[in-house]
Amino acid sequence: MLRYLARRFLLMIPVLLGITFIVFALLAFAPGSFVSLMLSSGVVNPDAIARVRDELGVNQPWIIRYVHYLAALAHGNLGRSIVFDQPVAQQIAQAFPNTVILTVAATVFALSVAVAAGTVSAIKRNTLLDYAAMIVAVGGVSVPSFWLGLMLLLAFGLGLHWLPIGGGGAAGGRGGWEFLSHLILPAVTLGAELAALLTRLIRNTLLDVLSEDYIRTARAKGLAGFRVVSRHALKNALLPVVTTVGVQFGALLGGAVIVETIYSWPGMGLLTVNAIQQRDLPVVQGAVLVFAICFVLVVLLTDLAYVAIDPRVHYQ
Amino acid sequence: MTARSAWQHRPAGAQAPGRGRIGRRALLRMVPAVAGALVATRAFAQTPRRGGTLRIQFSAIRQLDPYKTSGNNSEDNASSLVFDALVYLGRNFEPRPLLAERWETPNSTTWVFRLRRNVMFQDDNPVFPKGSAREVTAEDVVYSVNRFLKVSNAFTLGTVDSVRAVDRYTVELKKPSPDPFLLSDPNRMARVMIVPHEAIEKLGEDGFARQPVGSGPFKLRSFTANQTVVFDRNPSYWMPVYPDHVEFTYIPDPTVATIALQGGRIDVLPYVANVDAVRQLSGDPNLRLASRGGSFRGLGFNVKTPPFNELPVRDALAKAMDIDSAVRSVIAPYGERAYGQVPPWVPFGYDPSLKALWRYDPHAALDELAKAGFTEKNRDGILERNGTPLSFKIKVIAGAQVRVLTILVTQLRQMGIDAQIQQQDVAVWASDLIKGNETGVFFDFSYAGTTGLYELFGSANIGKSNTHFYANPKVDALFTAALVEPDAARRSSLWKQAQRLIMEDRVVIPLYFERQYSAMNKRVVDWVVPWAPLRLESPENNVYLTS
Repeated sequence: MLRYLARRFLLMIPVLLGITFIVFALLAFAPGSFVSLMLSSGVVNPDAIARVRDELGVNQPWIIRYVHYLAALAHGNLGRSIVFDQPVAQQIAQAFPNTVILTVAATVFALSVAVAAGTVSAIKRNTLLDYAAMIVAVGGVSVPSFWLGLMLLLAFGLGLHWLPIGGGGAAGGRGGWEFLSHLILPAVTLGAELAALLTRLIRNTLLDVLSEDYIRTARAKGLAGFRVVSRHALKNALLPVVTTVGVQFGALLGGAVIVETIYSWPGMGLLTVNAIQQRDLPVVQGAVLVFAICFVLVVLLTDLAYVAIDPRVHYQ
Repeated sequence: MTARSAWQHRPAGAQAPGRGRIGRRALLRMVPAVAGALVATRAFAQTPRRGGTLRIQFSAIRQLDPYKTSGNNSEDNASSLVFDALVYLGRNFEPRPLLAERWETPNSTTWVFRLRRNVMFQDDNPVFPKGSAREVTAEDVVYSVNRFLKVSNAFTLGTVDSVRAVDRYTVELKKPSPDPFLLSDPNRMARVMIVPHEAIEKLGEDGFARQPVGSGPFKLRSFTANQTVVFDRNPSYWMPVYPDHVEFTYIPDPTVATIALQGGRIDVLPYVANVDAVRQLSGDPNLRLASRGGSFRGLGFNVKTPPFNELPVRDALAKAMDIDSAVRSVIAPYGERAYGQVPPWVPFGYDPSLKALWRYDPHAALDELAKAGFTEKNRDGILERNGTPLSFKIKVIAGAQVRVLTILVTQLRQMGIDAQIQQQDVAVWASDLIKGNETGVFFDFSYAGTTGLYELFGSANIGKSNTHFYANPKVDALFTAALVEPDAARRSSLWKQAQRLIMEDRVVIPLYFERQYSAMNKRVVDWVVPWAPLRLESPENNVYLTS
């Protein structure tokens, strides 16, 4: 197992190198630059413009710039934001915990709803409960997150005044209910689509598992229905769910930008999109690197989760 | 005397002469009392009220060093609460004294500022412990100007020969050549916030950006980047300050910001995103709109790109479009038709007589195009010349201008001109325009401030802000003279002459000026739309909350 883990970690290096190379190359050739934005917005300080050009190394071939970037990266230096003149690592350190919190909360919400609804739906197949759950699931997949977010904001934030309309995050020293109250709406909005997806998946896989011989045997032995489902059926139905959650977690990490914008949640999605719009290349490169590391780690954790769930799975 | 006291002291003869009736004489005697009551009530309503928290929306605040905002409006607005500059731009865009009580220009390259006395830096912070604040002096101004020249990442004062403290309260600044815009340009002296050197020395550059200390009306209480920024009133400020606190609330999405304002979660939206939002908010009885300044929108030509390098083609396009109706449909009443680049609110260079240069005449447009060789030959409805159709894409960025251009493009197509809109990301649009990358016709935009005409049309700015690639020696000569002309009337005349030549050359077809609005809860009084840094307190305005 240790050898397997070591191999997986070593394999991360060429993967991450490849990602940084592709992103660097794409950004080097992408139209538009922060300098052109500065000039078009009336920034006339020639020293400031020259400083930006210097920091970006625009007079050097992009491959040389990439080598310098890798050298800095080897020393843990992600560079400096050319828009905000702050270390990229500092900006990411502020934003990243917020995105992780939001993504974990959304996943927990999605799993909680999906396991409950999917299980009930499978057990009470072809009943009103089943149909209701499936209609909600279809709705959850179909409704765009920006619409859902705005509707929840209007209803619970402005209409009922139950929850704040935005803000939040790890910094600022908020604790307890104040912190949670800022997290609820964004987590529900972000997790809704995943909940819908997982509900259908759990229902379908559980239906397959519930028709297996060993389940029939367990029932014949007199085990309570709840115990049959929770101890025998669900565990076997979870493997495809684990895969889906693992893949979707990475997507949630990067795709929270709409939710972060609506709820003013200061996370990585918003940071990255703003950096792209402003052509803040060091921040874009740093953010992509962080996302790539997270995604690779999540895939690794997903693979390790199989071992925990299914004792037949071994890694060598 | 109030109405109540007047009634208590009413003469005996003021009793009603009959049952249920008040006599004419009694009524007349009541008039002064009633008038007094009305005046007293009105005076009470206008008296600024101390207290409350003013909540302002912002879209991005990562740091609070006033010299390192990169032109970010939210950071400019927030940091300006902590500092004062020597001057600020008043309601009519004229420079007005702030930390400088007055100034003189003994010659066209020298400015002498006399500082206000007994203005103190804030105390009770890591730089000046409680009770140890010190006075702002001329040395602080010298330090600030030098630091601004060194670290400012957006704006500049140009070349400064020297800045020195003549005495404790007098600063002399010299430049190598005349600069009539040094005080009137919102991005020059009005940006030089006066900072104490101790703050930079003790906190470092990054520390100062998180914990700014100045002499302004508000002190920083707490700052979490892109979450909240809270300020407390500075009790020792040299003018009265009414709100107890100012809180900047992070809402990056314009739609959510509008909803938050209407729902009472914030008090002020400093910049309403677009005309549609202005229209929506104007119908809300709980809100008020304030307008000041704005931006210029037009259709620009890259005069190096055929066939737009030909004046008759540009002129024909100008005549081919009914711009008035398009602007009326989309923008009015939150903007107005433009006939030049200089807007009516800029104190010099505005020329309403330019209206005579522009007329809608589609027949004349077609005649002119025919003379230029563009005719309809192959029954496809598109004009062409030597087999090349008159076809182009107008590069534009998102905004109300897309709808205006859609109307205009439809009019052009009806005349056989194959015009289309190509909507782009801002960075790509800016880059394409600066490089002249397939730009024949493009959406022309500038913040309509002081020297915008020169930025857009001076040949020295080709490859930078002159995306028309326009070079006219006569226009350049007028700019050169105007940029160093100390006499305001003469400068305005030179500017108008340059603008007229540019418009006659049809380098740009002016479309409209879109006004800039702030929207606010009606409890906010005396807000002035930010133009250059925000001023909540100034000799002209003093923001307070009525409840």
